[in-house]
Amino acid sequence: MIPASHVLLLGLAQLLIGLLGLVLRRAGLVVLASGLVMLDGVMLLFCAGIARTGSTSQAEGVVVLAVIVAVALVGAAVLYSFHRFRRTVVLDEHDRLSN
Amino acid sequence: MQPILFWTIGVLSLLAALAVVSLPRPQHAVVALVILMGLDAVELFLLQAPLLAVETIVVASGAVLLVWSVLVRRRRARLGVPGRRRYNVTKLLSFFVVLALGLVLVDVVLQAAEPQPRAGSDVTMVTGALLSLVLLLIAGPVTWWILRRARSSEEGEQA
Repeated sequence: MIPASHVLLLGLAQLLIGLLGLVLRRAGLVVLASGLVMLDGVMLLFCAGIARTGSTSQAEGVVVLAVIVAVALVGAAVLYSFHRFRRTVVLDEHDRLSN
Repeated sequence: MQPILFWTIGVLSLLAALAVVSLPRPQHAVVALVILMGLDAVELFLLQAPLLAVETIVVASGAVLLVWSVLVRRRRARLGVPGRRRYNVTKLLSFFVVLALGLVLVDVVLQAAEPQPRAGSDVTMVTGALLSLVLLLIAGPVTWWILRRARSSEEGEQA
């Protein structure tokens, strides 16, 4: 049996790598992918939490998966919308709230 | 499961995560993300969370492939960032903030002793399923509204 702290460390490492991509990259698609890497790490953290509590429900992880899908859907739509307005998905170019 | 197997797959998944955030071409980053999710699904399966593993493979990879088909395959969007990578003060500060946050979090995790088992979570599968359903029911119309607004504004510009 893997100790919960090992799973916590792996999830935390993924979370931090995703956070780095989120703050350092400019391409919209990579920023969206970095957010999904972070959420993947969160799911591992939930898995560690499930192991800690001894629960078998996995309900928290299902919610995180739904969040991943929602982020991917809405994020892709926002990028598509950005591209329609400015013909680019480089986030530095999108610095206004209005057109 | 042996820790060596866990960390072998774990290191591979960390390499895939690093590839997602460091590859210059966004298309390659999306491929690395699919690989990462597959490796995490294997981890979840080995951690005796088979439901999460199957959902990760099916649902999350489906979402990533949707992003791929909308933004990448049609080659409509200029996805890459031209020119050399530029670093400014904000990005350097952000890097060090992430580093500091990471050190704090790792310290918290290492300080936490192996937990004592307690009673199962209050969140039942039904609650989780209902929450997920509500979330997806909200995300669907929001996506549709954003796409519709973008299309109508472009049609207005063309007219």
